[in-house]
Amino acid sequence: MIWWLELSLFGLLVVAALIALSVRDMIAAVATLSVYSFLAATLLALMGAVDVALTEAALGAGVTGVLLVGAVSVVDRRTPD
Amino acid sequence: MNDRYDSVILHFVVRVVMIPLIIVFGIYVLLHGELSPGGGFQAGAIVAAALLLVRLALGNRQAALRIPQGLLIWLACIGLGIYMFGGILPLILGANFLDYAPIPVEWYNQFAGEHRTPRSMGIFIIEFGVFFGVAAVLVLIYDLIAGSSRQ
Amino acid sequence: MKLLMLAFLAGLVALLVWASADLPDRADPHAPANQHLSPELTEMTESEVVIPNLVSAILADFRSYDTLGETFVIFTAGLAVLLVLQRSRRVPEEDGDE
Repeated sequence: MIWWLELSLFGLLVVAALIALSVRDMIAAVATLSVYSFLAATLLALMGAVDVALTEAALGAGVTGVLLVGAVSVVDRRTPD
Repeated sequence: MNDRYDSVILHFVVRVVMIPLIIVFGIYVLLHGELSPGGGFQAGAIVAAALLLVRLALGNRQAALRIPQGLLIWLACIGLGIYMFGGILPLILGANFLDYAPIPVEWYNQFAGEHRTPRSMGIFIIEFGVFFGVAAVLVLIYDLIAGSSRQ
Repeated sequence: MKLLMLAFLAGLVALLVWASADLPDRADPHAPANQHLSPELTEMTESEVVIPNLVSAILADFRSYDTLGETFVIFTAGLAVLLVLQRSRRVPEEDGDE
């Protein structure tokens, strides 16, 4: 296993989660959450769980992002926190 | 979200490149569920993602690939019905619920030229049910959210 | 307070990393988690369900009740969203009529 690839992917995962928590714009938060899901899918594919990776990429990075964009368009886009 | 962005590049990429590619990939994942990673759930999510991409990129009033709400509900019910059919068919043929061993496959093997066992035939039926259910419900949820935000 | 929470989180991370050193390797066939049921399911997939994808065989054949419940859960979620959001759209019209 390529250990530095996994380690850098884990680091990017944590960075994406922190950005998604701290960003003010909700659409940007949703996009960063999709990035997080895609990195998680890449990690799962590296671990050999290809079925789970496919589900994570399709549901977590695809459909959930679209549904959250739909939800953000209902509420206010800017958040004070 | 409700107004469409008049960008030629976006329209071209979404209409010509992304949508056919994603839908073909979803159907591939569905039909090769037993041979390669994937299955009904993943294929339903992928096809639903393609349909949601149309709504997100080209606007909700986009006429193409717009499925009426009643048809979506019917598709979800039909998916569950296919799953229950795959469960009840062995029950009629004298086995337990969802035990695919007595499903007849000779006609299908002669028709399609494959060598399927009864159990893989049962998995094939069930994946179609999961596919229709998941795809229809995901598109239905997005249409409802977008419809409630239009006011 | 924030410093205390950061210290607690750092301690938790250190504890988890220290504990993960004892975990068996991924996809190790001699790990305890792979000893109990996995060999039988793998053999049954090869002998009865003759398909290459082990995950599909387990999800849709051996554990098909779970998948049935999962489909029902998704269907119920769609029905719940349908009921909630459709009512919220119909209420102002009724108010306008009366």
